[in-house]
Amino acid sequence: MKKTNWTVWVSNLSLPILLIASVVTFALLNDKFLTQINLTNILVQNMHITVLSTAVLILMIIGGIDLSIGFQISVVAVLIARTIKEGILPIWAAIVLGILVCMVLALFNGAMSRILKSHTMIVSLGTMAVFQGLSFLLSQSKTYGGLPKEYQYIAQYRIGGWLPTSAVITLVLVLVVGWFLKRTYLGRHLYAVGDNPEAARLAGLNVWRIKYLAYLIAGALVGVTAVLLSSRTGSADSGMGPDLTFTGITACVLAGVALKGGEGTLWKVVVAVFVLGVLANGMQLVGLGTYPQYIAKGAIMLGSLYLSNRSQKAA
Amino acid sequence: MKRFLTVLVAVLAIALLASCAAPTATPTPTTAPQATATPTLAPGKVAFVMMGLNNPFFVALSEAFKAGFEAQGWTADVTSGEFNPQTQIAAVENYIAQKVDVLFVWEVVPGSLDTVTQQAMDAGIKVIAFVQELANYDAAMKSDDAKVALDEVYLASLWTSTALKDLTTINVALITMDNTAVCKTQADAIKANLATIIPTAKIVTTYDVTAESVEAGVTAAENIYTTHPEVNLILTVNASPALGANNYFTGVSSPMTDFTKFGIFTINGSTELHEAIAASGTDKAPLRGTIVTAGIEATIGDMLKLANGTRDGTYKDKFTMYAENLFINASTLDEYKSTGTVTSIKESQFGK
Repeated sequence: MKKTNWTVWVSNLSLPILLIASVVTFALLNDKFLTQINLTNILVQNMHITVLSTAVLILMIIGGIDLSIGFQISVVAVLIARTIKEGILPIWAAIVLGILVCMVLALFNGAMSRILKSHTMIVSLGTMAVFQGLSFLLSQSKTYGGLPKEYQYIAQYRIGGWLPTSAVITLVLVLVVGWFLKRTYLGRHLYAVGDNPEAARLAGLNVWRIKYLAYLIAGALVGVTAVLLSSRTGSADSGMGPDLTFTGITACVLAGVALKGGEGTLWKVVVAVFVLGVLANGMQLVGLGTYPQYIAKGAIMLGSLYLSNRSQKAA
Repeated sequence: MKRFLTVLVAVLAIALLASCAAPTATPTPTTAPQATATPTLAPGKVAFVMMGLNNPFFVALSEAFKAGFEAQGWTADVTSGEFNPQTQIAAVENYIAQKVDVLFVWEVVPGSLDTVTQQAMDAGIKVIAFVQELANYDAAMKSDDAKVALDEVYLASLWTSTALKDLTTINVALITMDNTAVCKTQADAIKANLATIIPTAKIVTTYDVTAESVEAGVTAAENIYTTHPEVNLILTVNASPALGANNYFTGVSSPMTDFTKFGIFTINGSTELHEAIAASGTDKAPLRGTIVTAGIEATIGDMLKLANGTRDGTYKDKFTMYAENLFINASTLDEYKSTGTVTSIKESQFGK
């Protein structure tokens, strides 16, 4: 019994332990690691990934997975940048439009999944190509740089000279989503629908309505990701989103979010994002290149899966 | 709900497609170049299987290719390889079926088109390798990757010799992308020759990015500045990370406001760099220059020469034509934008 508790305990706290161990290790190896400027770097480099991973979590809780989110980011970032650069809309309206468009794109995935009676992963393979085409058509393969300072402030401004606005926005979003998932009936319904849709239906839940709600929330979060990312870089292009898809899914898998749905804890996802972010930042600072980073990430992922399996057996 | 979704999706699709068709503020000029070779055969069918069309340079090149050849009476077509060997193989097969006369091929994965390009040659098509060498071809158009990188350092040396002449050591950060063979060749060339071209230069850090993205450049710049705030010069092997680094230092939370002793140089890139390079002339931005592998018009001119020359036998037996590098900085930018080439800075002035 003691052994079982120990296994579950280690599994639950493995990510925070890993994060602390990483921070201590890199702090010992490089005196710049724990400086204010570098800690701010770690924050700003991972805020858009945190918001995106939150979106991925919501989709995975309902048993879905969306491979098209990267190009959704590209479509929305380019749309916002173009409408601002060409003076079509004021900044606030462009952002609202972008987030709404992203919600519709996400809802489109959900609707296609229902209409075609296919898993969202398969559907999103198709919609990924559609969104890719849209993003290149919208951008005309150009980079929209030189976005206004007012737009850059969204992600780049430092409150008190050090606290990034992107961190505040992300914190608020994470708290709201965390509250929604844990404290509201609808939030708990997402888990129920993901865990066993048939049982949820028999219990009187409107399964597809709940799934559509999840897609809308995830879409809004992906839209915010696009805003944070384009504000951070001061530019937008069609290639800016796709790499993030894998990062978001990796963070969720590392956090033990079940691919089958019905499981997933937001705080673990946030910690997983920071584990990956600290690794990337720290390894770069101590002079380890890209390839050791790949190996480290892969090893951590495998270790996490091992602990997750042991935990499930123990439970 | 279904009906609502259908209407919503339809509205979205129409709105997005409508916005795609909207005119842009700064369209890329793609004027047809003048013919630079006198053909002895009537213009025929020419096609270009490109790597992809995912950046402004590729798109501008593809548009100029069509415009340039069609202006000379050719029937021209372009296919995006989508960075996928299978797509490229299918494209070459389609052009064999269409019996084109000349086929330009920019191979994504070395060796992936060996069989199909041989089939094209067997079918009487003149195959011209573009940038990437093929196993089977009649002629090739290439750039010398190492030379491009050296020219970047020469361009940087023009700036360091005046702006940083008082410094005993110029601290250099190198942003590489070693997961791409061309970029690795260029980074190695910079590392091997930097001290020779700029004797006071010293590489204090090398930051390897995995993606050619602006965000990767922002992150690289953040980390470089954290560990090496003393850096005076950043050299990159591709344009997007250079733009990202520039955007970081010119952003609203930039740790640096005085760029008089700080510069960024890169390779290739397109119109997205022009704004920053222009601003560097008054030290309002640190992105000071790039090396462009020939102007697009010059490239199309060379392609016309090769297309005609391979058909009439002037160019054969794997004849290779090397592209000229153009030096773009704040002083040559207007010349480049108005003429498509640069003559005011030439390789020869660096004693090459």
